[in-house]
Order: sequence, then C-alpha cells, then structure tokens
Amino acid sequence: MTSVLINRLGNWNPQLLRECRGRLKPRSITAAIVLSLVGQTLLGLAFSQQYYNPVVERWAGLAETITWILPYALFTAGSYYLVSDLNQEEKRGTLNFIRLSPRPSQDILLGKMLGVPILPYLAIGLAIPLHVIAGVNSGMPFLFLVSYYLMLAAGCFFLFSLAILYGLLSSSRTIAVGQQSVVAVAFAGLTLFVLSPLYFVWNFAVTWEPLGFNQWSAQWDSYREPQKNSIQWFGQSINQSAWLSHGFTLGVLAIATALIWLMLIRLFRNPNTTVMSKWQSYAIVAFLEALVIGFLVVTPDSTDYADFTSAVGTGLLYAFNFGLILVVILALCPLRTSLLEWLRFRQQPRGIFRDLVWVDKSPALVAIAINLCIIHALYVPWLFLVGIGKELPTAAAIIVLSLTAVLLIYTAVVQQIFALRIRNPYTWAMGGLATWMVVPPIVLGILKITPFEMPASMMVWTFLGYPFGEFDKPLLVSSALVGIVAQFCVLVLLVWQFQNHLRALSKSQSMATPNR
Amino acid sequence: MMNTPVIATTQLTKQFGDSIAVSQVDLQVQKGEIYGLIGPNGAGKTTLIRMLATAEEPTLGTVSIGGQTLLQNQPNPDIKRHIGFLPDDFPLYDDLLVWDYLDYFARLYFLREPEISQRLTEVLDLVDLENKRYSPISTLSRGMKQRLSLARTIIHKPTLLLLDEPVSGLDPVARVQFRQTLKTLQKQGLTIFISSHILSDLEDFCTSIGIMQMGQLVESSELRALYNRDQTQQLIISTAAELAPVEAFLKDHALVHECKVLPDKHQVAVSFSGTDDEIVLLLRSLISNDFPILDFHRTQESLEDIFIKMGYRQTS
Repeated sequence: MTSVLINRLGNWNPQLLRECRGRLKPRSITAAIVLSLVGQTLLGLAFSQQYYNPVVERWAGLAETITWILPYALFTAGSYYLVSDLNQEEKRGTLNFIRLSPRPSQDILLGKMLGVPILPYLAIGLAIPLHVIAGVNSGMPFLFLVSYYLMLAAGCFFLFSLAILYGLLSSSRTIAVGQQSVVAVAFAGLTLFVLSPLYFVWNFAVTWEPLGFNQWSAQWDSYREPQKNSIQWFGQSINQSAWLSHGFTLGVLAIATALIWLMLIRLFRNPNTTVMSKWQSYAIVAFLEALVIGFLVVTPDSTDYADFTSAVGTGLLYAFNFGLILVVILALCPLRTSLLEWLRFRQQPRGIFRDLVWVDKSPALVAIAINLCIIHALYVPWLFLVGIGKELPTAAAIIVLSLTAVLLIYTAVVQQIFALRIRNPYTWAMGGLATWMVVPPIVLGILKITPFEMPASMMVWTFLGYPFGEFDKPLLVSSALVGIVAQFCVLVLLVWQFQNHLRALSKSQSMATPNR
Repeated sequence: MMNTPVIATTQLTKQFGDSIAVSQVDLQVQKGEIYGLIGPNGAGKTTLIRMLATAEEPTLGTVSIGGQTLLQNQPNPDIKRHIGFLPDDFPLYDDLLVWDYLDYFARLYFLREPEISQRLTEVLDLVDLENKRYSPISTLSRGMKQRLSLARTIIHKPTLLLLDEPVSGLDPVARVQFRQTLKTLQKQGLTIFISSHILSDLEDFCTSIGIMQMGQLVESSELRALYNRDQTQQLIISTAAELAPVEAFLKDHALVHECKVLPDKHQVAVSFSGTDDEIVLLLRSLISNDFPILDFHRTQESLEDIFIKMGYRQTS
C-alpha cells in the first residue's frame, strides 16, 4: 500500500518525492514531532494556570495564541528552508541537472514548495487538532476556523512563491560578499518581522472582519478600534461581506502569485536572464498601481476617508510609485553580457523601437518610460479625483514631471552601470542609488536648506526627486520648474552618453566577430 | 539517402561578455559514432557541449538534435528526452540512497514502474554498482560517484550521450572500466560525444575526432581519415655501427623530411612521406649500402602528435 502511494506521488511530482526521501529521516521526523508536542504541552500548561478562569477563557486563550503562532512559525520556517535549499542547490550545481530534465519548471518548483518545508509542515500540522479543539471549546466562530486555514494555505502559497523567487535571485546574483550564509536568515527575518505582521493586519482588518472573530476576541477588538471604518477599494467596501472580503483577498493573492510564477518559471529556466520580461513588467506595474490606487479613491459619502486619501495619499502614492519603479529598474535592466548579445542580434533587420519595448536583452529605458506612462494613466486621473489636479494643477504637474524625470535618470544610471565591465554590478547600482537618494537630503536637512526655510532650494529638492512644498509661492514654483528643467537636461546628457557607450560596444562587437 | 545526423550545428556561436567562447561551429555527428572533442584549456569544448546539452543558449547559430532544432527561450522537452549529459563535475545528493537518486531522475524523465525498477537494475549492473544500490551516496568513492553519475545520465535511455571530461580525476583502473562501459553503450546504439584532455583515452575508441582551438572547430573528421591525411610516417631505424653516416644518408633521400638522432636509444627517427613500396625500397638501399641495420620499423603518429602539429599550425 505504502509503495503504491509512494509510486503515485513520484509519478505526480518526482521533486516532491525526492524532497520527502531526503528529509523524512527517522531522526528528523522524531525531532519535528517532539518539538511540536513539547510546544503544545508548554502552551497547554501555560493556559491551565489558575488565573485563566473560567475554563472557556483558558480554551480561548490557547486558541488565540495558536492562531497567532501558526502563521508566524510556518511562514518563517518555510521561507528559511526554501531560500536555504535553493542557495545550496545552486551552489552545489545540482539544480542544473534538474533544469536539463524534460519536466516542466512548474512541476519542479511546486515539488520544492511542498517538499522542502516538509518538516515545518509536519510540526505545525500536528498542532492543528489542538487549535481546532481549543477553538471549538471556546466558541471561536466555525467559519473563522475554515477561513483561517484557507488563508493560511493561500498565504503560504504566495509567500513561499516569493521565497523561491528570492532564493533563485540570491543564488544567481551576487549582491554582497559572503551572502550565501545570510540570505536565508535575511528573508526569514523579513517574513517574521514584516510579512507575517502584515498578513495578520490585512486579514483582521479585511478578510476576517465580517466573520465575527473580532467580536469573539476581545484582545483584537480593542486593538483594531481605530480602524473600525470600512475599508474601500474603488469606492466599494471590501470588509463588510464575507464573500467580498474573501474574494478580494484570494483574488489579489491569486493574481500576485501568478505574476510571481511567471517570473519563477522564466528565472528557473534561465538564471542569468532579467528578473522579469518587459511585458511582465507592464502587467505587474499595472496590477500593483491599480491595487494601491483603488484604496485611495474617494467617494462622496466618506468625508473623513476623502480627507485622509487626498492629504496623505499623495505622498504615499508618490513613495509607492517611486519604490515600485526602482524595483522594476533593477529587475529589468539587462547586464553587459545580454546587452552585447542584443547588439549582435540587433544587426538583423528588426525595428529598434519594437526591440526596446519588448526584447528582454535591449536597454530598459523605453520600457521604464512605458511603465511610468502606465502609472501616470492611473495616477493623474487620481490627482484630479482627489482635487489636487484641479486646485493645485501646477503642483500636480511638478510632481508628475519630477517623478518621471528622476526615475528615468535612475534608469539611465543603472543601465550605464550594468553596461560596464565591473564585478558585482548589482552592488554598485543599489549602493549608488541608495547613496544618491539618502545622503543629499540628509545633508541639505542638516544645513537647513529646505523649501520651507529657503524657497530657492526647491530647485535642488525637485532635482533630487522630492518635489514637495507649499506651492502657493511663485518663487517655489519657478524654483521647482528650474529643477525639472535641470533633471531633463541631465537625462538627455545621460542618454546621449549611454548611446555613445552602446556605439563603442557595438564597434568592439563587430571587431570581436571572427571573419567568416 | 543520407541519414539525419544526431547532432547538427550551423554557425554555432557563444559569447560571454566581451569574449567569444565558441565561434561559428559547423558540426555533424552521425548515429552510432563516438565523437571525441579535443583541445587545450579554454578552447571552448565545455561551452560547446553545454550548448548541445541545452544547458547554455547560443548567442548565434542553431543546434539540431536528432533532426529537431532547439528553440531559444523554450523548454524543448522532446529534445531533452534524447540527451544524456555528464558534465566535468558531477555533484550528487549526499542525503539520498543510490537507488532513490536514480529513481528520482528516472521519474524526472517520465519513466514509470515497473520500467523504473527494471531500468535501474540494468544501469546499476552496467556501471558495476549493483551491490551499492541501498548505500547512501555520501559513502561512495569518487570513482563510484562518477559511475553513478553516468548511470544517472543514461537512466532514461538517451540516444545521445554528451560527456565532458568524464575521466579527469579518475585513477587508471577506473578509466579503463569507464572506457569499457562506453564501448558497451556504443554497441547498444548510442551516439557518444566526448571531450577529454587525455588524448590517449580517446584514440582508443573514438570513431571521429574534432579539434577545437580558440573557440573554433579547426578539424572534424573520422579518426582513420585524420591519421591517413598526412602521408608522413615515422620510421625508427637502429644500427650496430655509428649513427652519423646513416643520418647523412637518410638526409639525402628525397622522401625524408626530417631525421632525428635519438642517442640514448641509439636510434634514428625519420619522417618519411612515401608509400609502403617506397619504405621497402628505402630499407633495401640501406642494406645495399652496407649499413648494419638492427631494427627497422614504422610507428603510427599518435593523436597527441597530430593535435600538437595542428595546434602549432593554428597558433602560427
């Protein structure tokens, strides 16, 4: 019977069977079981103390604690296992053999996702009965329990996809010396301190809000007090109906996971390619922009909400767009080798513009410009929707133009760095950008050269990509406009310089080509 | 009618950054051949093999395996089923047993039970690891690990075997065993493409040879044709008397290109470009001139000699 099951499992997904065979050794299984049971016993003992009275409260305390612990433990341990495993496989060279097999990449990666964290699955799975029993005995809403595990599964699928993406990227791209030993810990830390808390905040505020869990859990109910308003997306409340809240969360997770998998399949097949293709970048940017902007769309019947979105939203959205495009720049700019290959292919008759829009090995400047257009297609109408476009049209124009110019400048700089013959181009690009974005504002701040104290300094701030100020003074506006003109001048210079660099590379390419 | 070659490349080129690792290689390997690829370090042998194995995408040119052309940025599963690739390093999973490791790869190539068990037994027998089937991989010696890697490479019955420096790092006994295994595989109808630094290993069993220099395939032909192409043969002559008069006589002969005295062996090595009859005439003329000939025989130029000559031509 067991051999039939193993055989079926192996036929369905050989990678999963391989991971199970490699990891499910008597000693490790025993360790996982003991760890889980000891943890449960300690929790049980902690909640059986006298100060938890009556019995229902003890069960409630236990159920609530496990509710919190399970995702934290599963996400953190699973992410660590996946990133660490992929780094090890890439370092050892074994991943190449799997790549050469005719199995589809998605089969292999799914097998990894299900098999690599098999021990955390086992340890956490053993705690589920206690959680369910404690929940039922304490009157935890049944629908919440169902939803809890549904969200746990969906969250795992999304987060572990992200972990695999990170694992593939960190193993194929050198960002810092000695990174192999710390990348897994770094991602696990990110999961523990950022992603897992976000998971809870989102689910409590949106997904589980209509299920009555918040009323059942007094502790959470007091915590969520300031956020009792309905959360809206494009004017539609998404946390008032269980169907809508679950549909929205699962829909967003499904689309985000699908986009990650497109990148995963591409990177698994060819680890040296850009992280995403150009068309994938357009889809990802459009999806994320629509998702975020949806929360900042105001409706006439929600005045408080409207004030919040117009005032804070402008800055938030600017920062989000800035960060999003920075990530896309690093993910989309091809390295020197790819550029050189493109220069050779480009000699074949093909439209240059088509190349720049669609071909992965071509420079990323035009693609980033298209991504900025996609962002502005939603961002500009939103500025008008919240009133900034009508009331402060100059400020809106300055924000849009400055954002566009500074991000195109960054693209040109990163692309130029990637085209150089240097070691660790990612380190140089990320270090250079971070320094440029952080150091000048700090120095200007210390020297008190800010638009509030010295309106003429708006020129410098706009040039740096921080065009914020009270645009009611003409000096501030004219100063910002000078900053934008300077940005575009620098951009033109950088593009011209990069074109020259490409020409030189192209010339060296034709010289390097052996005679036929 | 010509058979479709198992490997066919046209203008195959690979560039890494500024350097061209493989340049415009046109190659054809027929079914059942053992094709040996030789060349110095950095000649592009590994890159060429990796492109044939679909592990590396070409910068330019095309690769066809069994008549099917490899498509760029595509998974090419049908072609991968036909290829078995053994790179020069052979990392394994130390946490698995020998049987489980091969079972894993058999399943990756869509083999199903009961074929898996049957095939695993066959390949373990072929590589002489049948008594290690339930041993952890971490306990195997280097030679055994290498044989296990070969077993993994052929587990799915590929029609083309690509071997990159497979005998480097093996002791002489393991090398002989490995050669025997390859000969068995050739008899089973596999086409084998093998690169090696150890040229004597290749000339023993290769049917064709390719020579790579600085990224280019400067020679590709049947081994016999390569030996016969350069009509120069080497003759070894030893006499009971002084060598100097023999040397002087030979240097005057029209068909002798080079004459070198080997004092420690008391022999003269002669490069001779005549036919078999002309060799007989040379021997007769030596005897008729009263040279006390003790030994007169011809030797075959080794693959190493041919390679060094061609290398010299190339670099000069």
